[in-house]
Amino acid sequence: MKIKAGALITETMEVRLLNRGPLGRFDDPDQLRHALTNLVPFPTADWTDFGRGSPPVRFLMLAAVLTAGDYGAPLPESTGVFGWNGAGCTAENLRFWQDYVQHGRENGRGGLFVATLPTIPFGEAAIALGLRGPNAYFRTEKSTHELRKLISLRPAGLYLVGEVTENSVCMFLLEISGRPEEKSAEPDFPTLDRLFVHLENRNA
Amino acid sequence: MTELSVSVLGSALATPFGTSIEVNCDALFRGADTFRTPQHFDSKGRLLGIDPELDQPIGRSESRAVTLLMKLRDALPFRIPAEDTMLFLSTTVGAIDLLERGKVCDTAAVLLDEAARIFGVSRAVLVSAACASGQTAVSLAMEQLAGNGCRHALVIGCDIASEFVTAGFAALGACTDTICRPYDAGRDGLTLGEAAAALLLSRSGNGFGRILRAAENCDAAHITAPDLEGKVLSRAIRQTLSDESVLGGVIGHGTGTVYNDQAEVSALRRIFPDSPPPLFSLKGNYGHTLGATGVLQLVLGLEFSRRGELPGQAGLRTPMPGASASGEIRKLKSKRLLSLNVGFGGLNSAVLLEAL
Repeated sequence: MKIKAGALITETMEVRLLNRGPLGRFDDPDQLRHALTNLVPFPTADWTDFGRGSPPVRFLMLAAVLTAGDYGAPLPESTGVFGWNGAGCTAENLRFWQDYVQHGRENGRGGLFVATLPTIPFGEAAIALGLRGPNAYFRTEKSTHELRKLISLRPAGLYLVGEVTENSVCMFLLEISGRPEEKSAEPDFPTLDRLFVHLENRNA
Repeated sequence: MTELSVSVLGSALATPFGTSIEVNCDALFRGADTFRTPQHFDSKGRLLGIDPELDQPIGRSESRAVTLLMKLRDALPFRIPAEDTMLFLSTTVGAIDLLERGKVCDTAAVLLDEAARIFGVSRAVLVSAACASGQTAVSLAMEQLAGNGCRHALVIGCDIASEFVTAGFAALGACTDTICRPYDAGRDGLTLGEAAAALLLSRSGNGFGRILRAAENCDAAHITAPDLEGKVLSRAIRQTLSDESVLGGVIGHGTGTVYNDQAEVSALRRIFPDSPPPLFSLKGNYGHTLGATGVLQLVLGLEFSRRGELPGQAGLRTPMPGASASGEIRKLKSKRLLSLNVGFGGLNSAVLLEAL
């Protein structure tokens, strides 16, 4: 399994790419989206539902486009998109439920309900880039080695793997060989952003 | 696509019909359903596929989803191997009733921890792919078995009927005011249900069935609506049917919504333009059991394959154009059955199985 590209968006909207380095700091997701639209290396994305999406959806769509741009070549349609661990969708669940209760338990809001599935940000990322490979969210123990064990046995191909935490959004593009692999030489990390910083420092 | 087939060493379920696979199967062949008005929350008059044993008030720190998992464990007709077994839990919202009663937590993660404790398995993965979670979990388990990631895989699907989910689907206009009618020309929405189901899989061994192939993909078209032409879903189906063997029938996702059923029928017509195999959905009997449905379809699909018959479609009056559904019991021409899942996000899953 090879890490081909990656992107990290920090809590302060600082954007860093694994291959291309820092992209700068932005005021909000919308400013970053406008910037990406004008940058040549980044793929054209379907931003149709950007403004409607919850914060995790917007950040994940941005991270997916950034990672594809860091890769530097068009992603094949067969690329899969996976989510891993992170904050899950507790905040979205609470938002839908409190809104429903506040309105007398008569009518929920469909838009808030859709966001209560942890796969929604990854589904929106797939739509944004037209990626039709497998798409799912996994929760395991907090260990990038455990994630590697799970992902490395997928069929050969390219996979975007992302994590949305309370502090950051991180995404990697992985190339899976489809053959049994040696154990990872990388140290084990509890989150993808920690792995990103490690790889960034190693590349520096 | 996952090509290496795996043995099914054990299966179990816990539904409103009970915990016996034979009793459940008999109920399906009688065309029975599980729909009633829930007592533990106000469903606004909607019928749901409710387990009467679980339909009662419980303590603030308890979850009906955990109770359902314990009911499943108590019904297991097999022993979980102590060595190198990995648990794959498929659920959409997990212990969501905890949140309804004010406990703020990651309700799916809570159910994962409880499942690992209840079934005594230390290595556990939550698999969430909306309503395609169940079969996606099976596919992931097959990959781990094929690549020696584990020796045995215990795949569990579990979701409860809750006020949270009922309010959500109602808000989307997806619920019927009566009962769901999968593949019917007059279908007008889904009925929610609850269940838990389990499969014990192994790369080798003397199983009573096999999961032959699995494939998943994503429409990448719309976050809630499937592609009505079924183009991408048909690719997943084609991948699972890559050899020339005859297909006995299809256990569809068949929620009874206008869009879902149309997408599935369109996809099947792309593969079988002239004579599609018999089509059947469990939703007419159990309602939509969300993260449980994929595993439940495979557990019961193996039993249909063993019996060599497919039940008549519950709720069906007039089949929608192009749908090979029928209210009559049909003999299978082959033991091989295809099972489909479709979920929000345009997620599609196809699995091929057979009883031995």
